[in-house]
Amino acid sequence: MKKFNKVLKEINFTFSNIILFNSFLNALLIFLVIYIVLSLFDFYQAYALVPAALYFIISLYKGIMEKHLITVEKKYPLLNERLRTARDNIRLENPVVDELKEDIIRDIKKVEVASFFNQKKQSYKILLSIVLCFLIIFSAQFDLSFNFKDAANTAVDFIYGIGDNNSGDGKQGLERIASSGTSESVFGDAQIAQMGEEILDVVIKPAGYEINLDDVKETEKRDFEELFPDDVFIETSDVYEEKIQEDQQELVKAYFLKIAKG
Amino acid sequence: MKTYKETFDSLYKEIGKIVVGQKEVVEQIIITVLCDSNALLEGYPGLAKTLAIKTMAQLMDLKFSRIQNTPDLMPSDITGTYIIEETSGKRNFKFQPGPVFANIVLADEINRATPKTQSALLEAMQEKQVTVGNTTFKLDMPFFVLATQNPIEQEGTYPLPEAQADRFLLKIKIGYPSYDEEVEIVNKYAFELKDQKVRVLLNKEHLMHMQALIRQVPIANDLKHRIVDIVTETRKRPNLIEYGASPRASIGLVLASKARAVVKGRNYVSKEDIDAMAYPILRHRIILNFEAERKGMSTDDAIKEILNKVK
Repeated sequence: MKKFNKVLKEINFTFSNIILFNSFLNALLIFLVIYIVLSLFDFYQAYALVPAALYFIISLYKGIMEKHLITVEKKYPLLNERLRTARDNIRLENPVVDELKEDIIRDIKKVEVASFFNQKKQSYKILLSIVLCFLIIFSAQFDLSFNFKDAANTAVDFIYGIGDNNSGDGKQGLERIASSGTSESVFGDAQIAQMGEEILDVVIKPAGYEINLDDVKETEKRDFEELFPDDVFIETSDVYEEKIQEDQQELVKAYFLKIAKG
Repeated sequence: MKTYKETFDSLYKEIGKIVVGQKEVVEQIIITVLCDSNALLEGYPGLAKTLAIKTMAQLMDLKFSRIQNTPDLMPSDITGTYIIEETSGKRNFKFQPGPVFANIVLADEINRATPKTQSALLEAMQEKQVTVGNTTFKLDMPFFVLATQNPIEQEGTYPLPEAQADRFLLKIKIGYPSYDEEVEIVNKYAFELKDQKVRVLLNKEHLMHMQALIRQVPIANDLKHRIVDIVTETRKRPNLIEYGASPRASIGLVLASKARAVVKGRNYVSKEDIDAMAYPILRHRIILNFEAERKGMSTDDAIKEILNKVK
């Protein structure tokens, strides 16, 4: 009886391992696929954990609840109905039941664990998860994302653009959006960087937020004379000059004094 | 189990010397014997019902007796009666045992006997004892009643009451042999008057040991539930069945399935055993309603429908 108990425990242990591995692999695939989708649409990627974890728990629970002995019996008709019968009569001890248990212990040696594990399928799944991992890395590297907000704005612009045929610049709908440069990369439209015929050579340096007090230099003296042209002069603005006649100036003065006193 | 299988194989071989074909019938008779129960054989005349039972008794070295049932047969003709015996000038009542005091009792054409006589067999079948007057006599073990009846010539017969029919574990239907088998039967019995002898393959002790072994055969819980489902389903079909089978049918189906498993050389009960034994176990325990009979359905059709429903 102990030997047969051991057989049953071994079957359950092996199946638990297979189910655990399968559930984990499937959950990983679900996580990676959803992660990619979320990152492409610029959503919070950690949300991908929720469906993956849910799947893992449900799949694990279902797998554990499954009747493993029936699975073995289906795969090995030699053991059909015998495993279940011996399990259900495990406490029974008589020559017939003992013989049945011995037969099972002998025949169970023909059962191969690999037959319950679809190696080809699992290999494809592992390969797919590796590919998905690389995809995530590349999409992060090239900052591939489809911003919903921008897309929505673009869509709204597009719709209004089609509706307003008499827009000021003479361009219509799609043409206007194309020329606005809103859908260009974060560096902006190349036209913005052009001044006249000259192209500016701009180097964008990473911003530093920390101030190094040891690195403070003396203020650079600049001569601004060259900046101001010769015809630049200072004059008081007309608005500060009140045009009051001389004979009435005394009257105004007296008026303000009276207000001040009283 | 292998040795038992070999024994049954040689039993079939030996019985095959006398009875041509009818392997299923022979198998079901063996199952009845292994279950320590009784069987009702139904078939047209001339299909070797009596011969098969007689041969079986010879193979197992069992005491065999035959009762030819007729409407004027009295219960005492079966059980036995007290006779006056005169010994040394004294007259004493002495019990003269009837044909029921045997190991295998063949009650031929049981439906020709009156209900009173039929019921005389009831106690013997169920309790394995006979009460005459105030005295109860234990029957010799093993004890089986194998009764036969014809499905035709129903005039002047007394169909078995349900209570009595329920006491038979199996109702074995005997069909016609195949063409080749019939040719073989002709060759065997139409030319020479040779009394075929069979070897004794089992004895009482061996048989009783097997009967004890049958009860030890394990059965899976889901199959046990299937058996109960099948039997209870017969009570849930008012559109087809007027009266369903009793829990005795459930017990019988488990036992018969176990016996069949041993006969087939297995140490566990299979679904196949249940499906095969459901027909002989249930066919005399269910009564079809008028609607089913009007449609021309047989009890076997109803059982088949139930088996298909209960997965």
